[in-house]
Amino acid sequence: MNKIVEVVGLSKQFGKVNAIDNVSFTLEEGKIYGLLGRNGAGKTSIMHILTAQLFKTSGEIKVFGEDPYENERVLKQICFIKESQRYPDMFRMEDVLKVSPMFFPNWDRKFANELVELFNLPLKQRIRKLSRGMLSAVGIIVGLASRAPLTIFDEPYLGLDAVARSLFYNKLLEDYAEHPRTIILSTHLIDEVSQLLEHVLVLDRGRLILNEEAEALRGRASKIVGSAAKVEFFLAGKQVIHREPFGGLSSATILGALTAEDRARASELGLEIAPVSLQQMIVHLTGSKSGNKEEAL
Amino acid sequence: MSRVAGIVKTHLTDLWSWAMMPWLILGISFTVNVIIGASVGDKIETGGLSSIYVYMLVLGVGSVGQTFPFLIGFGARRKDYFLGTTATIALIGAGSVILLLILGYVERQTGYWGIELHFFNISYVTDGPLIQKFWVLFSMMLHFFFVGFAISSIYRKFGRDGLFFFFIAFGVAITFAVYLLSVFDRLRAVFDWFVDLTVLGLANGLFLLTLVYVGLSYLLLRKASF
Repeated sequence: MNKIVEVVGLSKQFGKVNAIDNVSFTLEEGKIYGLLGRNGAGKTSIMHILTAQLFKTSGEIKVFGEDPYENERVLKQICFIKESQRYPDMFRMEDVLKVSPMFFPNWDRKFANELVELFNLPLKQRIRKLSRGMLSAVGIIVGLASRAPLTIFDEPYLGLDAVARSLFYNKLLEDYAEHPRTIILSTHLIDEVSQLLEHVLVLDRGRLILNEEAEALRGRASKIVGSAAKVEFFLAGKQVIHREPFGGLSSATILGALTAEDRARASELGLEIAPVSLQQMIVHLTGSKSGNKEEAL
Repeated sequence: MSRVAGIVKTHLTDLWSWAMMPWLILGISFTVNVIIGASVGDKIETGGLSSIYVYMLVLGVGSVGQTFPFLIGFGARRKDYFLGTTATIALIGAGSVILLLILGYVERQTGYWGIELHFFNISYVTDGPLIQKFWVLFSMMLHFFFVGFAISSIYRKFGRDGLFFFFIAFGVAITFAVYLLSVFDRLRAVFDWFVDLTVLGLANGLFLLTLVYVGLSYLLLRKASF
């Protein structure tokens, strides 16, 4: 596997705040990555540094084997669709379609036009007059039709309705199957995209706290439900990331795969074992310390 | 190379601001001058032409905010943004100046619009051979554009506070310089120097200054982040 992105010991400070704190990871060719975490966890900063729009404080970073800063070979292979992407005031969708091929060598005109129709975007209207959802659709169209070897979507679907979002997921998967590339999806809607993701990176307050294959992750946490005393008994020696008592019952989320022995013991105790969704797991992992779980993701 | 062309194209998508607005403004200025000239009846030389130059400064200020975040977001190099923007203003500047020279020719041929209105022919500025006229008008156009561009680049790199600080420092520096000149009784000499300056010398000087603005803006935008 080719390494597309290599980050070693990356840190970024804004004044005294550590936005990114000694983060290291590698991204391989032809995979869909999820970059997850709460607001302010450092996701957007990392994506801006990868695309040379923001400067690191320390650490090493290589994209396609080179420093991305002012590097045309690297930059032309990246398409970064950010939530805050700005367009000139006079720009219309048709202008975006005209200019994009000059920046993205793999641009597919036909595919772009098809997407414009699919998302019902008016070609002649000024982009700044579009609704938030339509603005997101513009980004999605550029991101998909650019077919950049490294495509980065930062919260690409703000304001998009459920229909348009699933349209995006379908088109993304469809086109990814035909034209494999490396994709980074940074998002809050973890459950919606969890089926898409092949690898998950979780950031919490600037630190990388999880870096794992999505498949391995899915079986990694389980929820144990039953009478409080029995649950406590079962939990002995396990890594508990969340506890929730209700009445005489208790539910606990534990990290680590359950052995056959564990399962047998649980059923003996009359405990129920439920799977934990990726979203719940990340909520527990990133929200536990601050005690602000509802807002976590 | 296609990316530099993409940057020029992005600028020129806003043809209204780059090519129509300046002529609209100049047209209004001209109309007002015609009305005044017709009622005065004497030969008048006006500074109405300066309106297009002031507009170039405004265009320079506006263009960074309009296109820089967009183009960097689309993966353009900062260097290419510079090349593309310089190419655009050179193109627009040359085109505008050619048009100004043609209008100046028409002005002379029509006996100054029949009312002795010297709008496109201004003594000192448009004296001299054609090529010099072109150079003077062109270098002034680049100069005004890049003054605006440099101001906007300071804002882009250092934000609003940075811009405030810059102008305060600038004001203090000018005040101090004038003070020193008057203390050492050199103010007169500076004025004389300006008076003696030939228009070609002025144009060359402005061009050199423009290069300084370009260099400074480039250094600023190279380090501007998002």
